[in-house]
Amino acid sequence: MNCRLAQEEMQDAFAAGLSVLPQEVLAHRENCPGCQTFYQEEEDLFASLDTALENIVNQPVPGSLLPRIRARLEPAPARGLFPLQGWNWAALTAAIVLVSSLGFLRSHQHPRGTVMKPVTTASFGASLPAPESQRPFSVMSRGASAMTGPKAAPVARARRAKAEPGIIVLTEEREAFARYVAGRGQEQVLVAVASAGTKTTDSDVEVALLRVDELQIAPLESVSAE
Amino acid sequence: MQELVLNPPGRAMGADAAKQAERATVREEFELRLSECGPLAFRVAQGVLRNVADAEDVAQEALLRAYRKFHELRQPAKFRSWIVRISFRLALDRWRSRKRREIRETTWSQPIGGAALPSTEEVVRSNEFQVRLERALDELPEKLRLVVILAAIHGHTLEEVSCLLEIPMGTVKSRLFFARKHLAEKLR
Repeated sequence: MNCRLAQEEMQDAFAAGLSVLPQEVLAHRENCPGCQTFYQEEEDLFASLDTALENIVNQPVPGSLLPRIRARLEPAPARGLFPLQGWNWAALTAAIVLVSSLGFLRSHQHPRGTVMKPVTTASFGASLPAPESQRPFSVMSRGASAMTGPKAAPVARARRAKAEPGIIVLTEEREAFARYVAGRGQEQVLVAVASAGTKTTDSDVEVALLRVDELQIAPLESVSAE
Repeated sequence: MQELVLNPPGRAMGADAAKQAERATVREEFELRLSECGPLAFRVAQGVLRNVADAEDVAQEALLRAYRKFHELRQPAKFRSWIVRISFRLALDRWRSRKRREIRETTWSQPIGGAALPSTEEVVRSNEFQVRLERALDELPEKLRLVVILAAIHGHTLEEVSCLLEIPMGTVKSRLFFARKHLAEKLR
């Protein structure tokens, strides 16, 4: 056996973790100083390798590992506990999409030529005592006219994009305006309220703008004076 | 004609109680295995990542994943090998993303054509053998790497590794042989 073969045998034996070398290799090593050195180097190398590997892997386990896991075990699922499985997910998703689509269409679609519903929260005429003989006027919080027919649709579309303001109407204003409108006996009223604010002397007073298409509106001061 | 069915009031309560009992049973069974498999998952991850904090995160994630699917485990005896596989996969994912990040950062920070500088950790470690071993480990194929890691864990015999990986004993030996040979060549 030559040195090359002997050294290959030694490497393989160490790689395989064998503690005993074949008899031929042992005999060669006894008579070859170079192979004795090689054997010693290989033995040191594999010992270092094993030690280093064990040092890497056998690090002390952090004490926080198990408590952290236990703390996160609380919402434990069990067999059959989850109500939605299989096709139920698809049904739920379809229902959500359907409801969302309907809501979207409803919020973005007003049929041409129909009367827009008055918004009661913003309505000046909510407490209006309308006479029986007269049709109650409509108050449009978006400033749109209560007209019907083809003319109403473009106006409504043009004003639809505008944000609807929050409205605060003082009681005396509402009553005065109701008296005024009832006295004039008009059928259609267009009111555009931009904003309304409390009366303060320190800051600018926000004015509730009223726009009525078919009525000649006197200044509010004169109405209040009545 | 409609049929009126009256459910006894205790039935719903009974179903809830049964679910809770089942949940408690699952948790108890899992916790019995947790003390044993927590360190195993950590060591597998540590063998791949060689970073205690990262290995702890991976072990935690692996065990939580196992817990979520625990009720689907048909053979509880194979829980340990299941944990080993999950931990190893998660650790490899994290190791790969870390490598990508390192390459990206090195590319940005290094002048074009410059030699690769040792990282801060490498300088601090100041152990050339360790650094070379880690690089050699990273170059090992996954199958060989997992066998080396499992065999290096204290108390693991080759039979234990064979059981954990669900592969024949001869396969474990041959993989370990090639892995050690490859590592030794890189370290010479």
